[in-house]
Amino acid sequence: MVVVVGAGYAGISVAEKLREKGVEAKVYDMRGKGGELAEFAKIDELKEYYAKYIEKVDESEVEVIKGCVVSTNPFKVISPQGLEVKKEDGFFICTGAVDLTPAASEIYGKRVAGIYTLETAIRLLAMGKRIGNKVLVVARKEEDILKPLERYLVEKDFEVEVLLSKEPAEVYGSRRVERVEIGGESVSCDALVVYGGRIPFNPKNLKGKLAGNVVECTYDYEKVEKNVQSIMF
Amino acid sequence: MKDVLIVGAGVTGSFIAKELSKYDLDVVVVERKSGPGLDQTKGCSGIIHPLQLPFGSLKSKLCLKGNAMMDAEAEELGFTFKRVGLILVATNVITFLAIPIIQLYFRLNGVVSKRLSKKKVLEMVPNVREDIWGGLFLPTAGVVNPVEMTASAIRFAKANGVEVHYDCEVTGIERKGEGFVVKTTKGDFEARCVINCAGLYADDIARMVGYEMTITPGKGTHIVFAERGFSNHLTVAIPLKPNKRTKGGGALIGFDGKPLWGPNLIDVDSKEDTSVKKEEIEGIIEKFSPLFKRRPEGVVAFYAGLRSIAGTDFVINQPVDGFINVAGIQSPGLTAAPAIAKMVIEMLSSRFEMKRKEDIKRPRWTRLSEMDDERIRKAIDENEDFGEIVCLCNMVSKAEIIKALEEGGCFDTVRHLTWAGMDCCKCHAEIMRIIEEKSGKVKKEIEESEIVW
Ligand SMILES: Cc1cc2nc3c(=O)[nH]c(=O)nc-3n(C[C@H](O)[C@H](O)[C@H](O)COP(=O)(O)OP(=O)(O)OC[C@H]3O[C@@H](n4cnc5c(N)ncnc54)[C@H](O)[C@@H]3O)c2cc1C
Repeated sequence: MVVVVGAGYAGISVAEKLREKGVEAKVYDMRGKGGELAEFAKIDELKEYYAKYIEKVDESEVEVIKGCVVSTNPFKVISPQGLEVKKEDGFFICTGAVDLTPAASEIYGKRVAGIYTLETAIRLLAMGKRIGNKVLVVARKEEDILKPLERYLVEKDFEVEVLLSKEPAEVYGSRRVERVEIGGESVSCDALVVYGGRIPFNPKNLKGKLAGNVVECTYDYEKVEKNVQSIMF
Repeated sequence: MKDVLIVGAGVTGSFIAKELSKYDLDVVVVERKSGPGLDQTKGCSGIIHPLQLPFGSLKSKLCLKGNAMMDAEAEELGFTFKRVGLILVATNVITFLAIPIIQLYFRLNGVVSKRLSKKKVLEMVPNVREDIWGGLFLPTAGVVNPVEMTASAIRFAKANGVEVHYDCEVTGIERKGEGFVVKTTKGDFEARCVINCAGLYADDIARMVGYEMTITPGKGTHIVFAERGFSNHLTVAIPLKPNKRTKGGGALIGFDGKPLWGPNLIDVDSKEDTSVKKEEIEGIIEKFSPLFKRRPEGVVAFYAGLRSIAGTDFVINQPVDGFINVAGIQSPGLTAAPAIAKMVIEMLSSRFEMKRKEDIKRPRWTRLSEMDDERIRKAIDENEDFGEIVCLCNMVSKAEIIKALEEGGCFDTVRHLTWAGMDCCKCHAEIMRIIEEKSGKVKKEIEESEIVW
């Protein structure tokens, strides 16, 4: 049997394509269907922005098995039902990407509360949490998701400033972020959201055909889609 | 009236509490932070040092003793301790020629070491530069997670009857008869004995009973890299001239095998100044890079800790009857902690009967990442939360996160105790969701705590 690890956009697309070709694959995910798109779907502006991809996942009838794949050879899955160990034939690894840490994104200064990667900030917002009131977003490279996210934050009465800058930044504050110095400027804020880029998320080094965001490492799902297409055709 | 009140649940206070919990005594620990080991202890490098200079000083003796005790402590308390060993590398002919002298000097002071040829050093640390001369191996050096080590001691103490209060700051101490009234933000406590393990603030506490001392903060910065296996041993170049104030840091490794470079030593004005400067990070990279062919891949985090320095040595004394200072516990305080605890027990034995309890409980951590398949199955069978992986990087389950919450409801405690979210941010939001689900306190976590990188 062929196994797809990860049920985000890439995993679901790969499974759909396999099905079209007459191959039934088993799809596993440690959290459930949709990957980070399921988080985006909880934030109106992002839901709209990623509508095409979210719909595709929603409409897919591919069944997702809840379980965390911790190794491919031997194939091991941990889930609340227990630990399964067996042999499978082939693997598509669609485990997605993860944001670089603030340190890797050249954020220096005090390690106080209120410093989030873009990814964590989005996940917390999707949970309905307030991540602060005056939010400074420091992006080391352009990413279109920042625009709908900014709209959302403004809509929710956050004060927001988005800075696209490669300058190192330094955080000041006693218990929580109070201000950030960047490029000779001092920005007062109580939350810092950092986007320094993404890297593949495959900590268990699962072996197989890598597809989707684990290759592209982006918030741009057009690229994720293209990657899946190039692999599956 | 309590028998003993300990101020501070850093590694020192926690180990004293653990040791006291084995006796028929009524003990309470008060800590101003929200969990164990979150001040100086959290900011340290986590090295169980093989030695401390100058030999003969109190800190040196307690370091050697603590190091020798560490396997038994790790076994008793159930924290992870690995004797990875330290390689002192000779990078030039002068330090190479000094190796036999260094080795003899160490041996005369009871520290074992083994000479390494150039070939052997290169074999042990393949990333070391080819033009080194040789080295000296100190097998007794080890690594721990300092917060985990501290929390394990506190957990043991609690299991054996010690009372622990977090978010509880001592604001004043008054004499009352033979004992003391200790005023805190959570009310007054009466105790026959007070042990001052307040780390950076031990001078404030000592002043409350009229003892004058000054603690100055000495900052040490670190970089954590992502590339496990870059070196499997602590790697340090032999300095041409040893620095009297610091061991000088090195290309260390963390408890989990990630490269950990640092620390430096910078005098700072404030006991809260744990800021990391760009120049410091560049300085560390500049200092330790020349030892290697390349740098480890991927930066995970920067962090700084503050050493509590009161002169050149530890200050362990009893200036007022019933009041014991365990102050100025700079490096190697983590290593020395078990030995410091024994020393304090000695000091107390003239005062209390010190009757050992018959039934001593030994709580354990259950770590999914350290279980074989059979045990994983059994654990999930008993509690399905073990089957819910939250952090894939370090294989941490929901059950472990919930368990860690018993030791202090904050994000940092959970992270350090379970090792979840120590490599990337993928599971941070999920950890907070679980904290909220279990304790309803996530507001505090988001708005006040130290959710930091
Ligand atoms: C950069 C650095 C690297 C180090 N590396 C190593 C190493 O590799 N190996 C090693 O052996 N040692 C190392 N050390 C030394 C080691 O960290 C310390 O010796 C050790 O942590 C001291 O523990 P402590 O319990 O005395 O202090 P702390 O951990 O500071 O504990 C004191 C506690 O008291 C609490 N407190 C303070 N005031 C009050 C109050 N008024 N009321 C209630 N509670 C209060 C604080 O919140 C704190 O939790 C290093 C230190 C630093 C800074």
